[in-house]
Amino acid sequence: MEKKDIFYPDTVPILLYNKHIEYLKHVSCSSYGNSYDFKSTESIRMSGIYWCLTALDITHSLKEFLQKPANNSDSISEEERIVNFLLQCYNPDGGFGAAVGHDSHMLYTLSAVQILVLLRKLDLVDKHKIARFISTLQQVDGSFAGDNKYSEIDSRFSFCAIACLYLLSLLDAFDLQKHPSSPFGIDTNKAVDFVLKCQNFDGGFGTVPGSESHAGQVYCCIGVLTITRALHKIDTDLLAWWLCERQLPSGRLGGLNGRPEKLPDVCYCWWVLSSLKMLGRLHWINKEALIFYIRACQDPETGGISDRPGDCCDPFHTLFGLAGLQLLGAASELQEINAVFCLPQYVVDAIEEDCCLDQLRAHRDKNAK
Amino acid sequence: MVSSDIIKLTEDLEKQELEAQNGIATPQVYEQLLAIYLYENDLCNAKYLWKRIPASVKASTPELTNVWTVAQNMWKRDFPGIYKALNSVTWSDSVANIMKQVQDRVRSRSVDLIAQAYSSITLDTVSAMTGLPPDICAAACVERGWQVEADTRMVHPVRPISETSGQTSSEDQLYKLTDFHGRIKVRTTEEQNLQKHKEQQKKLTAYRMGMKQILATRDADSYNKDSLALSAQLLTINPDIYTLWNYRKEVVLIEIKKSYQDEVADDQKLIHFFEEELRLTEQCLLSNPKSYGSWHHRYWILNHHTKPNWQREFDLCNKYVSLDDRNFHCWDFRRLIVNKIGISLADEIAFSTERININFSNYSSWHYRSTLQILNDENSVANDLILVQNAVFTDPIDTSAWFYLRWVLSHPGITKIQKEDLLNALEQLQELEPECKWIIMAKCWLVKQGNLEKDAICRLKRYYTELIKLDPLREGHYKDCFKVF
Repeated sequence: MEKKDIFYPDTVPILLYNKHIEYLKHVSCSSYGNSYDFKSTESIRMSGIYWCLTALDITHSLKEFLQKPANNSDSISEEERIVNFLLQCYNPDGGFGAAVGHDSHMLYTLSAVQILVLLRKLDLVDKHKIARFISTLQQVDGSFAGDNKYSEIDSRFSFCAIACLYLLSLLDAFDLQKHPSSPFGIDTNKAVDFVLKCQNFDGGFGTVPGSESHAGQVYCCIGVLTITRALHKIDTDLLAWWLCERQLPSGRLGGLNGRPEKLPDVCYCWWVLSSLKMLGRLHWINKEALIFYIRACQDPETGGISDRPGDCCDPFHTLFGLAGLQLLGAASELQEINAVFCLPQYVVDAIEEDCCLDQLRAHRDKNAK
Repeated sequence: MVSSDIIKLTEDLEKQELEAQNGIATPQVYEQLLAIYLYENDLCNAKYLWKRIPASVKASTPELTNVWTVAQNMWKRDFPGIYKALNSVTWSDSVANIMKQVQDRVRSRSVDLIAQAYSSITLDTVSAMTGLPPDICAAACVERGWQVEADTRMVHPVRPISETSGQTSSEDQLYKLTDFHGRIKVRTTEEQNLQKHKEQQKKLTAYRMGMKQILATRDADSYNKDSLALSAQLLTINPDIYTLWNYRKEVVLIEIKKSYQDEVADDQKLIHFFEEELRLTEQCLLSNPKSYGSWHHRYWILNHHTKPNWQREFDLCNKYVSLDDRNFHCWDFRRLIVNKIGISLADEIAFSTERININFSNYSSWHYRSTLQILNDENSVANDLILVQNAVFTDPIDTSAWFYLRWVLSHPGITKIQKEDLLNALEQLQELEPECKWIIMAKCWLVKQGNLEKDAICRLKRYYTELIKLDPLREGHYKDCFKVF
């Protein structure tokens, strides 16, 4: 049977740490804003900024970058430029759009909150207003819509909602299970119920009940169940086995795909790995082969990481490639990354969310290595 | 061949395949259809067709395999391989003309590729990519206005100024810059960069001006027709601009409100509006069949449509499933339609069986089947066990059916006899496919069930030891399975 395979190079470089910093600085700085790649991706801009800043942070380059002057002027720094942009995307309904003038959406609200948490600038926004916006997105069956008008349902949005509330330190306060008479809030039990309904015959999770299992959706659903301490409700071994079957042998390289009979991709390396970490089964994949794969996807000329060896790199795959290497213990140079939120661990540690913090810390320590 | 002839011929051949007796068409139909797909550079359909062709037909028709060899080289973009495969055989009358045209097209595409990507390239490389001997190749280059340096044997192609066509095939997504996946890094020179930069600036200006106007004229109670038209243009280029889909929904709601308020009932005008929206989503789906925004907009419109044509939606689903049977957006859309209009479960089960029989290697079909409440009595469990067993025995290397088998075997209704029979069959299969880890895994699933006696534990330990050898990537998992004992 003819099977399409990746192109794999003869040699695999070591982690090109400094090259990636160079690349990240290049694609994050204000002057890059004139490039086509930047401008043509405006409808996902907020997420793009989150990928860049998180990658800069785990390579210890964020602080220096933020202090640089923006647009070669002395008047504002890169940090101020980013914060100004964020605040312009903060819509009257309490949500964030992907860029200025774009409608509020769950995906970009999470990205915005992740950025604010990274920059320690959450006080610049009304956290309760954001939380109220999120709570209006929950549907009767516990699922979450992407926006408050057109009801696109997706388990990704369940993750965005729960993760966002946690990062705002409001998950407890907005939990109707704990505060039933509160005028605003989400029903975490129903949220969990909906996610559980998305589980399939193979142990994986899809977009909505009945949708095919997909590693990205698995990450989102397991994230919800981890944060709400409901992981015990699923068949962990079955799912972890489905996840470890994502690893594909290709010479020395063992990349991960997102679902059966598909090509490997660095972004799945993150979603599968972080899911396995949350499930305590990181050792079910072959680390060496995966490390080789991710390293083979580096671009030695420009720095940055792509989805497959030989393809163009971008901030999305660069973040997930680096984060994956860190989770695998193959990059001591990098800051520790948190598997649930894909943020530096020290940032997550600083979140004041009493009910869940200790649980997540304990979970993390138990699954370390 | 004229393009309308191709379409007709393709349709005829596809119809003949569909209507063939016992589901097996003649070798000639298969050959011609496969060749036509190569002519159209539709390698995905060529691949699916190859998988559908029964092994017996393949074995008795060597020419079919020869056509497939061309396809394989096209898939790998191995140009010398393509020309070799095309010219090393004498084609029979039934496909000779088509294969000649395939060669012409391949050659023409590689010439375009060279012109787009290189400002200088060796004559030998151009010769390999066009399948022309160097001297003939050099003459052809000169004829196109490309400079050929005799001493260095370097060719300098000239990039044509081309109009971008509306539709891009999945092959041509090479330069699709809004999609982060699968963009091959192509080396370009200063000159190419300048040209590309100019085109990109044009696109960006159109986007910037378009968004500015649309957002400036956005209003809850009325809308600007030019802005609406602009939004269609921008979405056709990039269907992920979710704000513009929202904008269009607002416009549709304004139209719906207007139609309630109008004294003269004009259903037609509103229906025309809905149909325009559906047409737009279809256009967007043609160039990007995986955009969440397009699929959601389509479903949203159907929910508001006064006279939705659900049969047409099924046809759309079927079309996209045959283009890419792993497109989960399409399967999700189908499920929405089924739930909306209440199709019978029996019909969907029949559809699922049909999809599986077309192509065993279709995880999405097996998954769909698993959602149809299929294992609800002894008979259906037994039937599905037979169905999935056939699949894994026909193609044990494909993983899809094995996942489904594991699930069927976990059903409490599986009898001891069924398990024993399957175990015996697997032992036999293992002799033919000793390297196939799935067979051993399936044996583990069978032996693991119920109370484990000493004998079963011994066998399982042996199986897991074999699995570690055959499937070293998952050693960590197998070792954990071991630990249970």
